[in-house]
Amino acid sequence: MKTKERLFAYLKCERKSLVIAIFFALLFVLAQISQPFLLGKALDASKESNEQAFNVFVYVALGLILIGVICGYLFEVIVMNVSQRIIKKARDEVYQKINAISLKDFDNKRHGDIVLLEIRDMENFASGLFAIFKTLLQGIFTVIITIIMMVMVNWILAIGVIILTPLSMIMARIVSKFSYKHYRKQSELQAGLSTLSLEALNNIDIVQSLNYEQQSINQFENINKSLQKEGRVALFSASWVNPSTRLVNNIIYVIIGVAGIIMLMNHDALVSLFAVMSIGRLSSFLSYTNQYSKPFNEISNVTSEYENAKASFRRINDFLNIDNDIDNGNKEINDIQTIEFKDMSFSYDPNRKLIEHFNLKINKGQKVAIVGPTGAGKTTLINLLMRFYDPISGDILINNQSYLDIKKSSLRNNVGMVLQDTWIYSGTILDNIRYYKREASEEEVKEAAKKAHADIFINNLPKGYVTKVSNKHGLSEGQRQMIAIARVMLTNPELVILDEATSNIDTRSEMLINNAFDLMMNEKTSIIIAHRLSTIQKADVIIVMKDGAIVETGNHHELMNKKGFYYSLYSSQYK
Amino acid sequence: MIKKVTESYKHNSLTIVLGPFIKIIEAIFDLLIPLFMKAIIDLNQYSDPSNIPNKISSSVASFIRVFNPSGNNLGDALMGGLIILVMGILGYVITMVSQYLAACSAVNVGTEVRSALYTKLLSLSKKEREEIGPAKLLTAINSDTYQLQHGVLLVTRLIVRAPFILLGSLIFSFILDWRVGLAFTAIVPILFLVNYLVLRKSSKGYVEIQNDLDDLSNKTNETSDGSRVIRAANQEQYENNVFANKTNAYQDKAIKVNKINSLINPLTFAVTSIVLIVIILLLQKSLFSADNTQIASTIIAEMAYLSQIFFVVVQFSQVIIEVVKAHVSRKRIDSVLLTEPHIVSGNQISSNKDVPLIKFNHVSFGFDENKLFLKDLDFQIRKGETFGIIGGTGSGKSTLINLIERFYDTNEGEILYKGIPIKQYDLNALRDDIGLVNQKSSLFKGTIKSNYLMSKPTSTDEDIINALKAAEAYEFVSKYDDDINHVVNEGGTNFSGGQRQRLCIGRAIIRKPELLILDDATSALDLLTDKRVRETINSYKDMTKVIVSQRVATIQNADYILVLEGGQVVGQGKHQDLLNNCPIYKEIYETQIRKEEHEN
Repeated sequence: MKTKERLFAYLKCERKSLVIAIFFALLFVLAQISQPFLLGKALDASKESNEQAFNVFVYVALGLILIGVICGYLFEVIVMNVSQRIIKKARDEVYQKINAISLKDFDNKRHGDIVLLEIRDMENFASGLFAIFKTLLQGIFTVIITIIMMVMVNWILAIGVIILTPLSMIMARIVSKFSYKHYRKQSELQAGLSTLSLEALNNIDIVQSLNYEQQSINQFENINKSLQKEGRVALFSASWVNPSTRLVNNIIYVIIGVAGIIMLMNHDALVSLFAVMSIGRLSSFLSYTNQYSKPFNEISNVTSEYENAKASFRRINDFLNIDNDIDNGNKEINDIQTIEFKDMSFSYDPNRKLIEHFNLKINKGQKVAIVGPTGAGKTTLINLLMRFYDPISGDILINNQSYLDIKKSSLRNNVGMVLQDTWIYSGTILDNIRYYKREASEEEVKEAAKKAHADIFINNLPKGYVTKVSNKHGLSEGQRQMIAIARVMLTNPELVILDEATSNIDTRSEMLINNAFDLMMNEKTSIIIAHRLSTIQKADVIIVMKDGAIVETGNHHELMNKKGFYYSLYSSQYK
Repeated sequence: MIKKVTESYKHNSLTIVLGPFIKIIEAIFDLLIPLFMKAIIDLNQYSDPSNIPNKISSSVASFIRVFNPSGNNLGDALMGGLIILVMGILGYVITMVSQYLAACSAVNVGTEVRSALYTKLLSLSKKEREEIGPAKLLTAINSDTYQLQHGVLLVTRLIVRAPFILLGSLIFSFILDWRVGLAFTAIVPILFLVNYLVLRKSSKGYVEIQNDLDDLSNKTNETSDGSRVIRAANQEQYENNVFANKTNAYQDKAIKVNKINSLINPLTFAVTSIVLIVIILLLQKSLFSADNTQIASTIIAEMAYLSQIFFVVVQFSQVIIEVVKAHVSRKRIDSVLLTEPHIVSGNQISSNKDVPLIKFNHVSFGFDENKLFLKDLDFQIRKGETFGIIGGTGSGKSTLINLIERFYDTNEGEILYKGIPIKQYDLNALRDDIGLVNQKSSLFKGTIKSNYLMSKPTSTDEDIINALKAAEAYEFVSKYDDDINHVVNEGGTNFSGGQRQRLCIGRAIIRKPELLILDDATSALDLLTDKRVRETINSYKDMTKVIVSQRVATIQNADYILVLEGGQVVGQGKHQDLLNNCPIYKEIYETQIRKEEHEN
């Protein structure tokens, strides 16, 4: 979808509210602009000693204030509500997109960019929408109605104002362009300082141990000095906008005022030109002069907001345009008898081969270990088996049927997976453990935690199982792994995949966890990837991988006797 | 270096004081313009200044006549307009000067405080840093200083001008017509109050909104990190609903805050319009009397004062909010600047080779003095030996290293470095002797070369290559086209964990340190590489090596091994002795190296 189409689609849902908003805006502006006119009329009426007319004008003005206040308030509230509703919708859509696109597309994105999309870009979009609705609607009405009023009061002066006013806009434009340049430089330098201080603090042990403090301070001060220079210019130039536009507006005000007074003096000659002048008219006219320039300044103030919003919305639209992941499978499975990788090839980058013509058959009840150096393609096998990625050629047969025909959700329901990078979501330990099985009771959760050897540390936490934790805080790497293991223990799946699942757990606990797994997975299938070779010695089959291919297979004793790659890996551990 | 923010104010006192006071001149012009406008209109009506009933208008009119002696009406209007224009332009120039002074004051204060904070940050020891908290330190540097700067800017710009204009407008409005003056005086506090209430309410709301926004940000981040688990658990729909609830809550709050904020514009309109009507009603009697024009010109001038009063009140309330924020920031900055590092350098240096390099004399340490974590450590590290330390997570290994580096000081007992109590030893000399590789494998943004130059500024490219080779790192570095000039991203993210560790080991080796500390520094290396690195390091006979690890394989060949458990030494000696008489060591060994292997 193009950006315009998407924007119109959003606006279309808010049609009714927008029409009402326009109506209120019109009333508000009318009430506002009629004030100087009415008061000018009242002044003139007083000059003619027409007390009745004077009273009428004053009280009509008062009544219009009341209407104006109500309409103005409703206008702003409606406009804000509309933009908030649109933002909520867009935000939810982006979030749903995160969960709907394929991991292949997702892994290409940086997480930080996605967060920026949801937060900064959405806020930009929201304030842009609000600014446009509000300033534009109100501004356009104000300009049009003010022009009509001014022409009604005195058309000669009106022409003067219309010609002069763009001056202040041009002034504001020039100044903000200049200061924008410096602001950008300033924020680059600020980012530099922030990176530097973050780096220093993160690595402060090394900075201090290298006696590097003074040099680091010098680095900081260099950037800080440049920031000082830029900052001065940026702040100074930004402070020109208001006085400069005020100056121009004051000049216009004086010119109009003096011209008005001159017209007042030659008032009789002007009657023939249909440009009557009176003291009341002059007073209303001066008010209009002030009012007329305001929307222009406001509109020029929001142009940067508008530009930001446009750029942000384009990014949002691009993200929403990514295709959803397709699932062509429709078969359900509930028992995994065999898994067979059949002549399967895959790579993330078409220029770099990774897995080529891979064949492997795993039968129910087997404990299969995969070992090999980093980059051998072990984790990639898991990505493929879980259908996070699809193979480029070849297939995986599950119970002798192509796994592409099986519903993804059904496939994944049968698997318990623990990855090297554990994931904890913000919530209680209890909820974290039952992430795969929400209906599990507290008793079941505790049982699983015991098996994962996590029970002890959880009970030592301030609030036990209801302690709140998050992905960034509260748990050590090893404890996180135990939680992830407990999750799988709770679901009791057909197939367990452990990818470096115990790498940060001390060796004693690891042994106990492995025993628990062996008990649970008796008669069921498990696939284990591990660096620590002690973890996998009991496996029925050990697959040794290197550069995307299998180099050796067999159990521990067979491989040791072979004295090949496995042997050299193993023996280096004990020298 | 400044110790308090106020010291920086003093350094910049000239610009801070001068800026606001120059602005008074501009403010006076601003106050005079409406009077001149009225005088022009009055002159047009009464022809002679002495005929104008209003005294002040009459004297302003005489002033205009000075420049227009002929006294014709057209000349009055044009000359009056010209005077106003000149005042406007002069005021503009003065404003520019004072804005420049304000920008200088603000930026200079910000810059000085920022440098001071950074210097302080690097001088603090671990203990103070942990007490203050890393987040607060970073906020102080990267956010509070800008807030402070902004506060200084607004205050120097407006602190004098705003009250001056306010007071001046009130006085002139009184002089022009006391009834209107009274009405204005009555309205000012109301305006302030309304403004204050609305702003306070909405800024509270904004804090809540910000929290909700952080929440949305965290949730998005969390979901991104957990993309695989969420898909594996088929929880996409559930997570979508959780998020939708959060955006609902956010939307409700935003709308609620806006209901208050939206009051500002319509209320502004209402108050100004109503005051105008009130003025007209107050002057109703005079309006219907003979000197109607005089009253009408007064109304035009009073309208101008009203809009100035209004502008100042709105501006002032906004400034106050910013100033309050700046004040909070200033307090936070001061609390950091006033923190004194409790680890101070001693002044002794020793080259005594006959004593142990390091001796722990019944050392105890705790982050909290009442809760000792390391208890009664008593051992020595001899010069040139390889000293292994082993223990599970949380056993106190890294804390022990922190004591040797003097990141912390002991609570009880003492550490002797080359025979001198470590607290009396020159801190720079001590740290110059040590090459530390910690668990984090910290690399700095720059190049491989720049990272090595940090460690030893005088090293040649050849030295660097040799160090890389010793750390088994040159094998991958040499594959880069730019060799040792290869870029290092922030945090070294462009290298794998194992590569980072090797680069860090090389960086420590290049110093040829007397004492090399490897704190779990080879955990990401495969076992073959780990072994080769250890062999190279062991060949440096003069170098004392302290190797900390969870792996038995890494330390079993050390000359002496210390076994830590729960902050206490539970065994020390050589590998074989420990296997025989330290059950914990034996247990660790057996879980890592399977029983069957041991039995063979």
